[in-house]
Amino acid sequence: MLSPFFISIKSLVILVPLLASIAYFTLAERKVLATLQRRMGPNVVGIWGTLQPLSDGLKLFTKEHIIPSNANKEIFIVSPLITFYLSLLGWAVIPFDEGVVFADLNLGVIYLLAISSLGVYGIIMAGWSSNSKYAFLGAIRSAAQMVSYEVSFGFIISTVIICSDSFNLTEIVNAQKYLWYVVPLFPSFVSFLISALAETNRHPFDLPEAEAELVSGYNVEYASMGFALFSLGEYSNILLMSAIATHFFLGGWISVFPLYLFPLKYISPGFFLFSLKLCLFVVFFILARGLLPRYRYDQLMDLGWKCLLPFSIFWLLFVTSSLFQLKIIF
Amino acid sequence: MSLLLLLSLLSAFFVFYSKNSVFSILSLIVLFICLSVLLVFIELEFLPLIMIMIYVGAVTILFLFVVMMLNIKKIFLKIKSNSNSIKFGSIAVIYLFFNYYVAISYLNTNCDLFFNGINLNWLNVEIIDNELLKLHALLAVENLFSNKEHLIFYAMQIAHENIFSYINDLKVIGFWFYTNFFPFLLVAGFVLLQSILGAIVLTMPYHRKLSNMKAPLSSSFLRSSRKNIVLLKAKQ
Repeated sequence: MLSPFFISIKSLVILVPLLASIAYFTLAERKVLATLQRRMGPNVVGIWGTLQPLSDGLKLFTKEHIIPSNANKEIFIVSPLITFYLSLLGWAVIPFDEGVVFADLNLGVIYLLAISSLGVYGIIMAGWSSNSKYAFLGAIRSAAQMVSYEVSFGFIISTVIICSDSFNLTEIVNAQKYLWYVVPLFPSFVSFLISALAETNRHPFDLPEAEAELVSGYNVEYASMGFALFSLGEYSNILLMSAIATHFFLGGWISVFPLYLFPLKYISPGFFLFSLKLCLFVVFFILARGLLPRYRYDQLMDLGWKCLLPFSIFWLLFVTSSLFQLKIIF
Repeated sequence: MSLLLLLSLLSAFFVFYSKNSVFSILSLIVLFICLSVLLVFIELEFLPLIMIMIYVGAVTILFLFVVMMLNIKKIFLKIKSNSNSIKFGSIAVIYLFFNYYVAISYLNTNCDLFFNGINLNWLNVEIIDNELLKLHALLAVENLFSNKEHLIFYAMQIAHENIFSYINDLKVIGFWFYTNFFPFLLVAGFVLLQSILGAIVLTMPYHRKLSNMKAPLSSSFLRSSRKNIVLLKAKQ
């Protein structure tokens, strides 16, 4: 049995860099979007705007916390906390290098699925408790979207699991030693990216926050820290999805080049490669926001239920039967 | 541990006690999560995660959806203190608890009977103790590879010592589903299929007559009425 002190140190080692990376993710998003639109982006606070996220956080922290008069007070306060907490909880099973992981669960993938299915609650509770039509509509849209894309998400993940014959994330990465799964499972990679965009309520599927119709979706009524926690949770979820995608399809910490060619081999290139690949997905998320227009709601549902779900079921059957035919699985 | 039990009991109480139905569903969620954590404590891995995924992530979300959409703020339950339902309910609860108590005490004292008896009623064993299920799966695997009787007892000894390193929880469940219990799996699949078909039939719109109708009919009707309006205006 580990001591609580050791466990708390261990979790802080993950959480503090994670929160810092979330803060700088917002800055990166603003900078990349600005570059796409030929603007400068934030460049006043600090050198090239590097202290912008800190000042934003400070601003949100010092603002007044407003609770609407007819809101359900307890749920209203609890729901951003739940969102934030659940988004942090998923990081417990993500390995950063071989053996560098908080909890190396045997069923790590199922744990991740369970945590991501719980993530709907924070949003739907926030929408209901703030006693506003816009927030409620946004919450309902978001919940329907997340639940419907979770189904195809599970099917897509199960192709990877069948190929690697394990639910453990470390073993999944080690199974890609010779070939990353992005090559043989390219269709599931593409559909994973689409459903990851929908799962995290990002553009072009950001209907819960459709500014034109719903002001800002489920978090209209939130000010100061509640709003900050929601956005922190959202960005943490995006980073988590990128990490999962890295482990499933881009081979986690496994390098393309042999180890002796890599110049940073003495300071553990595993971390470095993992974060480099994660950054690729982060940039993809930001570019998708900058480049694609928003889907209509029925188009979104059509894409989820009529395109992605049948395709992912077909692909799962195809992969399984081909592996069976090649006598790789019995 | 005891705190967890207390929390689960409290949330179970609040499920029917709270007047706001949204609160009762939220306490149901808390109850589910507490129960899955309790399942983790008795060394089950797969079942609690699946429980969270299916019940909390999918089923209860639908409950919450329906309750929120209906916008029932408060339900006023009229419970008379001397109504029969409470009496019968309490009697049933006491009877069930007595049954469980007897079963568990029986298991604790007469474990050898379960281990030696191969011709067991499988379903009962599965529900009562998962450890036994694992053991029997192990036995079955051993039987597949070799039909020697003495290997079975050896496997039993190993199973008691380190069951987790020997065979995976998930593989055992899969093994049983696709060997001994595959009729039940098929029946469950058919039930699911039927429910899906039922839902589709319920939501199917009555478009059969409308689709036979020609589309220009409505537009021509509109056009004629517009003409009438124009004529009326001209007369005035």
